[in-house]
Amino acid sequence: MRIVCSAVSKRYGPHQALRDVTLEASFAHTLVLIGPSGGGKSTILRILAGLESPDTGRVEVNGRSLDFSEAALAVYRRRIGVVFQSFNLFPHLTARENLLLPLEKVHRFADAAARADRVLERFRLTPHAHKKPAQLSGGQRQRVAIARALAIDPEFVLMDEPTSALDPEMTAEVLDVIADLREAGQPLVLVTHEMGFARKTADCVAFVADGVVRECRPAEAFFAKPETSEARRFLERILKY
Amino acid sequence: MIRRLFLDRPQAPAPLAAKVVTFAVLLLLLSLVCTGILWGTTRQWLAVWGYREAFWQGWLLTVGLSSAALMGSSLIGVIAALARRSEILVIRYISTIYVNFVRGTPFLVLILLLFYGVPQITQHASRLFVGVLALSLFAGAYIAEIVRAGIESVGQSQRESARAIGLTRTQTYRYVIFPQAIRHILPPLTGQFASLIKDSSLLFIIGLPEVTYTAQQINSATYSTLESFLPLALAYLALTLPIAVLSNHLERRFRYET
Ligand SMILES: Nc1ncnc2c1ncn2[C@@H]1O[C@H](COP(=O)(O)OP(=O)(O)OP(=O)(O)O)[C@@H](O)[C@H]1O
Ligand SMILES: [Mg+2]
Repeated sequence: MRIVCSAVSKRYGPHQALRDVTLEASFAHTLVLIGPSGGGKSTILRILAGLESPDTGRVEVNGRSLDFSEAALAVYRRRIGVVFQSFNLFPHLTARENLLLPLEKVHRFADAAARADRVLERFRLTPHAHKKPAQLSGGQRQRVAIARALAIDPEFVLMDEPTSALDPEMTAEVLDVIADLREAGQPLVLVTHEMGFARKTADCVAFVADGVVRECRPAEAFFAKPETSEARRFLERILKY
Repeated sequence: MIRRLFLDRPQAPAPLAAKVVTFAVLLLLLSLVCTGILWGTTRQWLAVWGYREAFWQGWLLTVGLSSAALMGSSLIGVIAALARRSEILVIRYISTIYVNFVRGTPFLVLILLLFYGVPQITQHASRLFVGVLALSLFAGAYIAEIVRAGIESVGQSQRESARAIGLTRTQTYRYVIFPQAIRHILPPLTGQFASLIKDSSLLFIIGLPEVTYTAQQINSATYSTLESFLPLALAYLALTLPIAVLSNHLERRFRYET
């Protein structure tokens, strides 16, 4: 998978969330975005997800340049699986219905039901298929969200801090699922504060701070010795505990 | 000690017996008062009884026009609520002006305005049509606010999720927003329907022979007093009480479900 951003800027009112972001990442499986809070990781991910348009700049995903008209974005979003930080399931639908909604209404798969059941099975969610989100644990809910994102056979998956609202045990449960995606060859862009996990699964790491991508390098090289002093300080601070 | 029994507090609820006794005593007092007032009115009751068929017809008309206005006002309410969220300014402003104008005007004034102020309508339409239209427009403004509050109760993250999985705007409303908004809309909406039925009584002013108008006719024909209007009150209660019970039930059900 290949992502190229050139001179991407995004402003929220007076606040410059991204300033001339330049990013060039080619990776087999997983790109991880890390960096201090408010640095702009979520904003980059939302632009990649087609949920937000940059004010200026160009974004290219797998060789295709993104057209930021709402109509083109609507088509583009269908090819992507997205998992947000907070649970983004629909509370009035069961786990299975949550999976079925995009399969039936957006993608109109003839075998929607079979697909949903297969993915539920794969994530060991079959016993919970008929529960509403309120009846599921946090970890199960996030697994359903991941299952929904994957059921449509997306070109790639974007996840924004999928474990930050979970306690440690549930975090492990969800991280296991994400690690399995790598085995399955599913390209993934992930924002996370779990450094240990990032280190283990990332092919490529982008360090984002103050609205700029400071570094984007192969994970091993990055974790062995960050190039910028900000990244070094960030890692030291995080790894201290 | 006995006095204690008749207090109903969250930490010490009153025993069932206390509730029954209180209710029975009140009922007894009420019937004493009624007997006192009604004493010696048998003749008028008989006179009023002679008009039961007209009364029944009036009541049926009230039910009919309320039902029609119920559908009309729901339609207007939903459209106005969606229009108030429109990105197109003209549409949004028209809806805002409509809702605020109607909510700030007494229903009686609205009926008079529509009936006497817009002869283009009254020349070509029946009183019944004008009545249903007035009632629909009036209740529609309140329903618009109920629906709007319901739609707004569905959080931004739900819309965002719907957008992310690729639902169109219409699909988002149909599959995500309305199914969740309905639990916020239904209880106040049923309450609004009870109001609509009661408000239909004001249509007597344009000579629509619904039940209030009929009761007045019976009253002046028989020189009776309470005998025409007590059944009138009961006729409305027969419609509004079940709706109030339903509204309470829905409210409780939806509160516990989430
Ligand atoms: N919708 C918005 N309106 C206004 N400001 C926003 C909005 N979204 C993001 N921002 C601002 O843009 C900046 C970057 O936000 P972003 O969410 O991308 O940071 P982040 O790196 O994901 O942080 P965190 O690790 O805390 O999630 C922040 O200062 C934030 O306050
Ligand atoms: Mg974020």
